[in-house]
Amino acid sequence: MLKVENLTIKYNHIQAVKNISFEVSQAKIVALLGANGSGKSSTLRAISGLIRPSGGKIIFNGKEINELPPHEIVRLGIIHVPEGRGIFANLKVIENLEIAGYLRKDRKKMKKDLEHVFDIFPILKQRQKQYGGTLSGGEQQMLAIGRALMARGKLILLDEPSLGLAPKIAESIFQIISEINNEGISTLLVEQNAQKALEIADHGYILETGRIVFNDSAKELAGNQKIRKAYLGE
Amino acid sequence: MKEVSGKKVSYVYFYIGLIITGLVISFLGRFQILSRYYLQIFMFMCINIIMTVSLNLINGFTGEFSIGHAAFMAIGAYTSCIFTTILFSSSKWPPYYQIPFFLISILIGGFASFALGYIIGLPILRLKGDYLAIVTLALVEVMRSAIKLSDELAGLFQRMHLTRLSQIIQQIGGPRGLSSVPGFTNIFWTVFFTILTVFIINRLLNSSYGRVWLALRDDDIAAEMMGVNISFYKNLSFAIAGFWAGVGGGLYAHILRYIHADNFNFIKSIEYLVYLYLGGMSSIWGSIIAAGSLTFLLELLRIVNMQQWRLVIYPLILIIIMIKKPEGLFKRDF
Repeated sequence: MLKVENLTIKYNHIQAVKNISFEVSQAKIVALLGANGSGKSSTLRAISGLIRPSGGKIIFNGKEINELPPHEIVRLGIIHVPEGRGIFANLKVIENLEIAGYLRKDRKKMKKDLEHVFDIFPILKQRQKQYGGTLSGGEQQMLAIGRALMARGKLILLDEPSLGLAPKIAESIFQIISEINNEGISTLLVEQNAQKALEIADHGYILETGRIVFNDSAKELAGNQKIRKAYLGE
Repeated sequence: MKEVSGKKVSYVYFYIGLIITGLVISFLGRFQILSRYYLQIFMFMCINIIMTVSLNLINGFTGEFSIGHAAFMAIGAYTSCIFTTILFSSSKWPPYYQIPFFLISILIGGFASFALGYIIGLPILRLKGDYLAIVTLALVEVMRSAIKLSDELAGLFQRMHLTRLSQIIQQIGGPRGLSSVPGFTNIFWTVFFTILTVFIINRLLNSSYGRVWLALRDDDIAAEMMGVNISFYKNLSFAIAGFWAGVGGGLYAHILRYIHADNFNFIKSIEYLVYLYLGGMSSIWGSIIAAGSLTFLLELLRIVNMQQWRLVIYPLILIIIMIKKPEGLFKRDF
């Protein structure tokens, strides 16, 4: 579904991502793990078009998307949920969700999708008249994911969804991610909490200073002693 | 465009109030109870409302920071005057030709500003905050200088033997100003355009376009990630605000009957910013009340012969407002 080939990202002269290749297949969760500054977020930003890669190819459903502007990449079905969630604080919850719908052509289906999002996140239904900025961190994360669903994402890029959340809330966010995945939506998950991420992921890549150092199924990675020592804090 | 859920703010009271006030004032004017000077104050109030509400669209609702509103006003004023004064000597026509022609000229002025807003917006709306402010400030000064240098352009065309074009540009007047503009603007048209401005901007804000603008104000990167073509929407808001500023400028020119590039300097832009911030960002009622009352207040000082106190009282009000109500007099609508 998504294929990244030899991606290189430079900030001026500093190479943040060096020649990495990976793949996200249909209806799979792929975890991109690594320490701070290893290039995970940069990779996501390159995929969603917010920054231009200086080399390599990004191919989505057979189409090269490196040169497309962000709003057209969204239209293809790649939705980036940024770190810090990017909630519109002065719009109501419902308006936050509708924004994604406005830009779609099939507005009739919007209501159905809204119902669907409310089924997954009942709390958002309760809070729909509240302003986005008044939600708690976990609710905001749910809203951000809900918004991605409203935009009919086929591939959702999640940047640190558990950041700053209480462990219990983080747990439920991970559960929701795997529920959404069961509906056939692919996810590229960037996480600090490697253990949790590998629990729900199908495949994992571990980045270190801009290079992929491990690449295996999530189960193997979680079982690998060396990785457990280096990344899972054992 | 589609109406969306959420809070709707209605300005029916404003429309009715403005119509009644307009009727009363023109009635009193007709029977010579109020002099033309007072009618003019009322018309300036209306124009300042148009200008401030449209500025609110950029600075308040879209969350950009422009101090270039005077440039749009200048383009609207000069473009409409080119039609009514230079190309056609419409002041000699019978009135039933004049009125539609005047309206068309005003709208052409508006569209000229719209085009300027869209084109200028393409490069400069990539900037944010202070940088955008500086560039828009420069825009005002560039526009003012360009108008002042119109004689140079006329000379150039003269040398290229484009005599007719040269004559037209000659009449823009450069540093001499453009005089003998017909005084077509009356209370009816100012009230009409003020209501139209508030109505259309309010409708736009309650549409899906409006929600996207509000989203851009909150977090433009997040909006981009939701699939918003941010440069298109920012340009659109800039251009629509420019349109109304151009209309305001056209009306203004046909009240004063004489325009000069220096009428549209950056002090003018600052004036609208003051109205906007005093009334409160993202509040149309705030813009209406602040623009209307401050215009009136400043003229009141002139009437009671305390004109020299204008620049004392004006900042004083602002300082008090900034301390007591830093968000402006009115709460945001959205």
